[in-house]
Formats: sequence, C-alpha cells, structure tokens
Amino acid sequence: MKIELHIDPSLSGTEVTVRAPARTPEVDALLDRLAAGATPLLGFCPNGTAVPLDLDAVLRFYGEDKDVRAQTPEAVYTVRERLYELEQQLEGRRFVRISHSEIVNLRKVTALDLSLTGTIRMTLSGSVAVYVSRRYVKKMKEVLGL
Amino acid sequence: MTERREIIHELARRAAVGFPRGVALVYLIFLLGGLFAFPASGSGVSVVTAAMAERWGNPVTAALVQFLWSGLLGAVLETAELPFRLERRTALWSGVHFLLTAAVFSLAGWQCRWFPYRETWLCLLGLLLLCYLLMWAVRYVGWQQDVRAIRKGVGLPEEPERPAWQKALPYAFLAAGVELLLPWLLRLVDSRDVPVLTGIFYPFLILPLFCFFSGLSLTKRCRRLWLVYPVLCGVLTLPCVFLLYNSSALFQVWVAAIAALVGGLLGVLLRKKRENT
Repeated sequence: MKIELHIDPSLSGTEVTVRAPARTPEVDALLDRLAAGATPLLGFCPNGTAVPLDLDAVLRFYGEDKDVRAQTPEAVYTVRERLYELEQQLEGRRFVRISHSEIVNLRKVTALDLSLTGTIRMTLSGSVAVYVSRRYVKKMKEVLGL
Repeated sequence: MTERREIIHELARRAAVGFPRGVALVYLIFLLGGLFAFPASGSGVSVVTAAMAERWGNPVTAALVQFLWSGLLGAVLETAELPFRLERRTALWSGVHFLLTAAVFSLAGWQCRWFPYRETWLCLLGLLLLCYLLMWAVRYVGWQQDVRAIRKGVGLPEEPERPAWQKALPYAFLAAGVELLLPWLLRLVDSRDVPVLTGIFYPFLILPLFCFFSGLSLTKRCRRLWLVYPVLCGVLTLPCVFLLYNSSALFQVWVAAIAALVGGLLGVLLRKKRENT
C-alpha cells in the first residue's frame, strides 16, 4: 500500500482520500479503521463501563426500551447515538438499515430467506434472526450496488 | 425529517394521488360500460346508476356524491398500501388491506347504488379477492428476485436450483384461479341477454392474454420451455366449457394452450437472443 502525505495550509481540516483499483474487503477494512479513528463509537456495559466498539465485530444496532443497543457475538452494549445518527455515521460501510428499529452489519449475514407469507428473514452470525421491512429493500440493494 | 413525519407526509401524498385515481377509475368504468352496453341506450352514456340519480333527485347531485365516494375509495386503496412497506408481516397486512378495501368498496357501492342485486356485490367482492391473489403471486415473484439479488450481493451461496414443477406451482394455481373461477364470477355480473364478458372478453381477451404472459414468465423462470404448462392451460378450460358454456366453446382449449405455447416459445427466443448478445 502506497501512503502519501500532502501538507496544504489552505485546507481548513484534515482530508483523507483513499484510491484503489477496486472495492475489496481490505479497502473496506481500511475505511472502517479511518472512520472509527475519526468518530470512536463507545458501547456501555450494564455496569456503566464504556468500551470502544470494534465495528467489524458488531452484528447489529437495534432499538430496545427507548435505548439503542449494539450486539456483538459476545455481548450487548448500549450506545449513546440514536439510530438515525448511526445510520449517517456508518454510511459508506457495509451497515444498512433493515427496519424502523434495526441496522445490520452486512458482513455478518449468514442466510436470507423469503417465507411463504412474504416475510424476509435475515440470519446473522450466531443464529441471530432479524426481519427486513420491505421499505428498506431498495436501500439495501443500493448499498450493495445492485 | 423524522420517521413519523415522513410517514404522515407519505400518507397525505398517497391520499392526494389516490383520490383522483379513484374518481377516474369509477367514471371510466361507467363510460366503458355505457359504450359497450347492449342494446345501446339512445340517451347517451350515463355516469351514475338510475337508482342513484333517483335517490339524489337529479343526476348532477348524484354524480357529485359519487365523485366523493369514488375519491375516498381511491384514497383508501392507495394509503392502505403503505403498511406493506413498513411492516414485515406482509400476509397479515394483505388481509387487513383486503378487508379495509372491501369494506369501503361495499359502503361506497351501497351509497352510490352500484349493486342492483346482492349477487352483484358478492361477485364483485370475489373479483376483488381474485385480483388480490393475482397481485400477491406477481409480487411474490418480485420479492424472490430481490432476495436472490441481495443474497448474491452479500456473498451468500446461491439457492440450489428447484425442479421445474416447483417453479410452475404458483403459475398452475394462478391458471386454476383464472380458468376455473373467473368465468363463473364474470357470468354473475354479465348481462342476462347478451353475455359480453363471458362470451367475448373472457375467451378472446382475458384467457389468451393471461396464458400468453404466464407462459412467457414461466419460461423465463424455468430457463426452458416447460410443455406441461400449455397442456395444463388447455385442460383447465374444460370444466367451465362443459359446466358454464357448451361444446361450441371447446375452442377455448386451443386458445389457452396455443397462447401459453406461443408465450413460452417467445420466452425461449428472448432468452437465446440475450445469451447471444
């Protein structure tokens, strides 16, 4: 990987441009690390301890009891950000809103099924089952570049 | 914009779109009904029923009242579809949507005197139900395509190819609905003296068009011509031919089978053309 640094006094802030021949998992991981460095996301344990969240490990963010939770294979944390704020922060990465109350990590999807009643069921790592609202199907396809 | 505001805005937008659509649909049905009426009425085309005009004293007031009811019906049809996009329980909402639409349709029809007989009302509700079933089947195929595309997008393995008969099952149910039920429903609303719907529209328009497009769609899904389907389309016409019509309507067997076959062959041609380009 080639790294260049340009110092330009006329700029008002730091800008990072990533140039790559194709969007690969390595490029995505780099973008995630850069974004996480810019806006660290904290998860709060039930005892109030704050831990930095590794976005690669997060399965989903979801609303529960007026709070927003982040679920990883090991634990569930509470996050301070609202779902719409997370949706904006996570834009450009493989996170997508699938319903009014849920954002999932597309890298953690292990199965996707359509039932006879028209329900789209998504399974995440660790057999976590979530349901996709039809309203967000178009957005999902856009995120996936379909 | 918050989600709640967004939903209210969407509901208002849909109601605004649905109202003129409902009005246009109802008056279009009256205009077409007047144009194809047999024997033709000498006094021009009526946009309200005689019973409705009599109830409100004059045709203009009756037409205005019908305008409001038709608009309401259109607005309900359009807005009640929104939960489909928000809710994941699609089958439940389809049922709710049908019941809501049927209730408003029945109320509007009762107020506007659209149903001269109880059988007319029941028959139109049956047609509405058939439309729902057809739309459900068509949408289900679309959802399957969406799910398949997303599965591919997230890197999941493709589903194993299902046998042709399994893919054809929804089409067979649709064909059974159209060919076994629709003629009976049409007969109920048909004119007693000259049955235009069952005598002309069904055998020469609805039946061939349905068989053609369903045959085309099935071939695209199966990726090959499945010859059982044209045979099935032909055979399914037989009960109605003998129970509702008579042996002079046996041509429907060939109409259905040939239309399905031509649709299937066109599907094969389109597929080959796409593969070559």
